[in-house]
Order: sequence, then structure tokens, then C-alpha cells
Amino acid sequence: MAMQTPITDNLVISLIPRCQRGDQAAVEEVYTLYADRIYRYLLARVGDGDLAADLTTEVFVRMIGRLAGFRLNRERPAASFSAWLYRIAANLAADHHRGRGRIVQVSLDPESPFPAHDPGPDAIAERRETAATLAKAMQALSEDQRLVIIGKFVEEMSNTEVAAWLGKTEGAVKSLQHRALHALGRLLGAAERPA
Amino acid sequence: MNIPMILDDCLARLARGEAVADCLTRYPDQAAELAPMLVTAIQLRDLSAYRLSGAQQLRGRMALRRALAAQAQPRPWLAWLGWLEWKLKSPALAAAAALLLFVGLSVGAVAASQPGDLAYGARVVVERAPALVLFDSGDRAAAELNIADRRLADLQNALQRANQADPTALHALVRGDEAAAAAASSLPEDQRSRLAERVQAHAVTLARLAEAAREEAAARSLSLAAARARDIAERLRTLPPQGNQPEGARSGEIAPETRTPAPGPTGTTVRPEPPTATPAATPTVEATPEAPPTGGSPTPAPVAAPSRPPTERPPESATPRRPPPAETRSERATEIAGTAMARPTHTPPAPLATRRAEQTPEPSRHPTAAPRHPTAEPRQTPAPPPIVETRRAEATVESPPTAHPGPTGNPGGGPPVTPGPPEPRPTRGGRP
Repeated sequence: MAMQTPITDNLVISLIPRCQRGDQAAVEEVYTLYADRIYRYLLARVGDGDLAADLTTEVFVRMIGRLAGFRLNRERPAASFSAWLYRIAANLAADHHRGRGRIVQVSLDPESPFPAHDPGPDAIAERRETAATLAKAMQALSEDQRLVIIGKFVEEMSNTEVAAWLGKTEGAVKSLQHRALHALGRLLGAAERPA
Repeated sequence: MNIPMILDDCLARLARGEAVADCLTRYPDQAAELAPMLVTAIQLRDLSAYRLSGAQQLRGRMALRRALAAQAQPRPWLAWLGWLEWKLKSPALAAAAALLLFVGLSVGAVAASQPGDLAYGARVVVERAPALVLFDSGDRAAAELNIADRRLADLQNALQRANQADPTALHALVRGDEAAAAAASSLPEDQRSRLAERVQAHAVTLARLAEAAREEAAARSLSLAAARARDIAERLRTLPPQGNQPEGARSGEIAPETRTPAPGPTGTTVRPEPPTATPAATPTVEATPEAPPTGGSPTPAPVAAPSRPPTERPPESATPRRPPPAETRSERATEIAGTAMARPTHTPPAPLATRRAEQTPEPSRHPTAAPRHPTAEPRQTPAPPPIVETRRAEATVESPPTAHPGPTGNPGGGPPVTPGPPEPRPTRGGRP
């Protein structure tokens, strides 16, 4: 997995005011920092790579429109901006599910959203199926549970980082993680698979 | 150690490269519950490898640039509604904010309205409201006159702008003067005099506006209003000392015209006062209603105010006024009050004749009745309007009434007693 640029408080504090002034370079830098993260979150929500990519673009377009009203939390700037951005993504995913009647679509686009380590066709098909199944199962979780799962297993954050991101205690994060994994394990039928 | 803690420990070990089986071996009692969760966690870690392709990123950046360019454009004027809804996070709050905005705009529209506008009537009512809650008579009278001043200013603006005497403003002006007079009934004489001067100033201004008006209807309305204001001012001056106010004077009611000597067809006037009234040298002295109630007064109450006892009359009613031969004060007041404002022509008076018939002896019975106070000069207004002045001059006791046939069509200028039923006239609440 390619390394992601770490998001620090200082970076956010320097970028967001520039974005609010309409600085294109700053906006593109924010996009670079957050696009893959938002994409993975949306992929886990909708299960379709192309749709997740389109929704990711829409998240950043909405961000530009609403950034003027955003007030950065000076105590935890990175966490507050990240939470705000994920909330836009969550609303978009919810809108998508309402509009589509919660039908999870599986993309047949040859341009795969998967990592570029040359997976075979069988692996691609299996991952698509896994993504669609995972997205379906994720719908059963609460938003907090979803964000804990994304933070811990997709963004590979520590408990402390997830707690700061979501504004919760570490104990609450562990509890949310347990309930989310329990529900997902049941829904994905993981118990029947070999460990 | 509870399950969430054990799970978290296992996940940390998996992250460090430990196998699932090793984790389950560490916690054999919870292995059955832990196994599916740990397998799911491994599946979820695969998601971290997913990322946008180069083409998807390029499309995303292009969309961002378009959005930034659109952001730089000025917003449509209705965009604030969407912004408001987003800002307030709730459609209900947004609706409440929009309602508040609407109310604010409405209040602004009312406050800025001018005569002729739809909201002007509301402005007149709203501006008068504070005066209605004043309990001190002096304060209330002053407040009413202040509001009347504003109406007069509105009227002048309307005349300059559209050359029209706005009925709403004119009515509000007269009503304000009336209300001030009613509130001033219990005030000392010096205060009443000051209020009377202000009302008199209204009359003067109205008369000047009437002279300057180019349209006949406007000039007529203004003249009538000026005459009415003069009457109110005079009533304020001639009110008896406080505490002895007749009901009609206190409420600003117009004194019955029948108590003033009406010009007869042969140049004679009648004595409408009760026999107990002592003639005095000046009208004001005579006007004091100190004559004891006689009970069976020969001058019954007018039809328009049947509940008032005959002896309970405003003092001014006893003054030898110069009544217009054809148009009475009460008729003028009715016209000012509403209907006649819009009428370009004036209808001949008829109903008052009935009242007069009840109170005044028929001229035929008193053919030689002399004017009661032929030398008594009623108060002269400084600048009476031409129309009213002409009528008053016609009605003075010095001038021979026979020379002026009334507009009722009586060729002989007969007395205001008409044999037929009174012509229906628009009145408000039975009051003139």
C-alpha cells in the first residue's frame, strides 16, 4: 500500500483559510490529501468504484460551495475538518441510497478501482463482489460504527486518533469497534469462512 | 478483561503480523466469538489498498476547477434561501427565519408608506396606537395632535405629488383633532388654549392647501376639513371649566346644528335655546350651560342623538353661529369623515331639516322673530377657506337670508324645515 501524506493540524490550519479565499492550489492540495480517503469511505458505503469516484468529486464540489460557512475548531483543526468532510460524504451516500432504493450496484467498468498490483481477473471479480457485499453490510451499521471501521481498518488510525477524529473516548471507540465488527461478521458470514 | 478490550488486543496483534489462530489460542474462552470478528477485520484491511485511478483523479480536479470558477461568479439573488436552509440546518428554522424576514419587510413597507399606498391605512392605525394607551389627558391630547401633524404633512406631500387630497390622511387628521379635543375636555383652560391654537393652525394650513389645490374635489374636501378643524378649535376655546363637560363635547361629538339659529326665509331667525337661557352680551358667556335643567325643555333632543337630554348640550351650541344656509356643520363633518371626500359634487342637505323641525319653531309661526344677537360677532378664523367663508358670510345674521335660496331647491330660501321625509344620508353610527 502506498504511503499517504499524513494530515497534521498545522497543514489544515494553513490550507483551509486559503481554500476559503478561493485559492485553487490550496483546494487541489486538500483534494490530494483527502480524495482517496473519501473514496474508500464511499466505496465501502456504495460498493461501486465508479459511483464512489463520482460521489467523491461531488463531495469536494460541495466542500467548495460550503467552505465559506465552515469554522475551523482551533483545538483540533485536522479532526474537525476531516469530520466535516466525512459528514458531507455520509450525506451524499445517504442521498444515493434513498434515491436508488438501497440497491447496491456493481461496476462493470474495466477501469478498476482496485490497487494497481496487477490482480488477475478472478481476483478483480472477487474483490468487486466483496466490495458490494461489504457496502451492503455497512448499511446496517450506525454512522459512528462506520466511521470507526473506516478509521481503524481503512485509514489505519490508532484508537487515540479515531477518538480525536470523532470526538469520543478510546473506550467508546473500542466499544463501537466491537459492535461494528460483530454485526459485520454476522452479515458477511465470516464465521463460515476459514480463518 | 471484557470482549471489546480482548478484541482490541487481538486487532493490535494482527496489525503486528500475528496470525488469527495465535490470537484465538490466547483467548480460548472467547475464541468462538472472536473468530468471525477477526476474519472480518482482515477483510476490511483490504479496503485500505483502494484508491482513485489517475483518470478519476483528473476528472475530479477538473470538476473542482469548474466549481471554483462558478464560485467566483455572483450568486443568483435567490441563492440566499438555500444558503439559509443549509446554515440553519433545518427547514423549519429556515422557514421561521424567512417569516421573520417577511414580517420585517412588511413593517418596513408600512413605515415607509405614503398616502395612496396600500399600506398607508395600516401606517395610520399603527402610528396612532401609542396615543391610545396614554391615560393622562394632556399627554394624550398632545400625542393626538402630534399624529395629526404627521397626517397634515402626509397630506401636503400627497398634494404636491399627485394633487390629490388623500381621504385617509384627511380623515385621520380630523379624527386626530377630534380626539385631542375630546381628551382635552378635562384640562385647564390655558392648556386647552394651547391645544386650540394647534388645531387652529391645522385649519389655517388646510385652508391654504384648499386655495392652492387645483382640483375642485380636493379643494372642497380640504375646505370642509378646515372648517371642521376651526369648529374643533373653537369648541376647545369655549369649553366650560373642567368637570362640567357635556358628554357630546367630551367625545368630540358635533353639536347639533339645530341649536344654532337658522336663517329663515324672511330674514328672521329663531330662538332654539330653551326659554331658561339668559341672553348675554357675548356668545361665550351665553354659551355656558349653567341654565338649570328644566326637564320639559321645549327643544327636544335631535334625532341623531336621542339619548342625550335636551339640556345637556355643548356650550358652543348656544352661541349664535353663522350657520350656512344650505350646508350644515354636521353634513360637512359627515363628508369629511368619508363619503363626501370622493364626491366631486355636494348633495343638498335634507335630513337635518327634520331635526330642526323638532326644535325650531316654524318660521311661519314667527314671521317677525328678530335675530337674537344681531350684533354678536362670532369668532373669526384668521384665514378661512373661500368656500366656507362664502357660506358663512351668507349665513350671518347681518346678511339677509332671503337673498340666498338654499340648495334644497326652495326658491324662497325657506326654512330648513322640509315637509317631506328626510333624504337618506350616510352617517356613521347615527352620529353626524
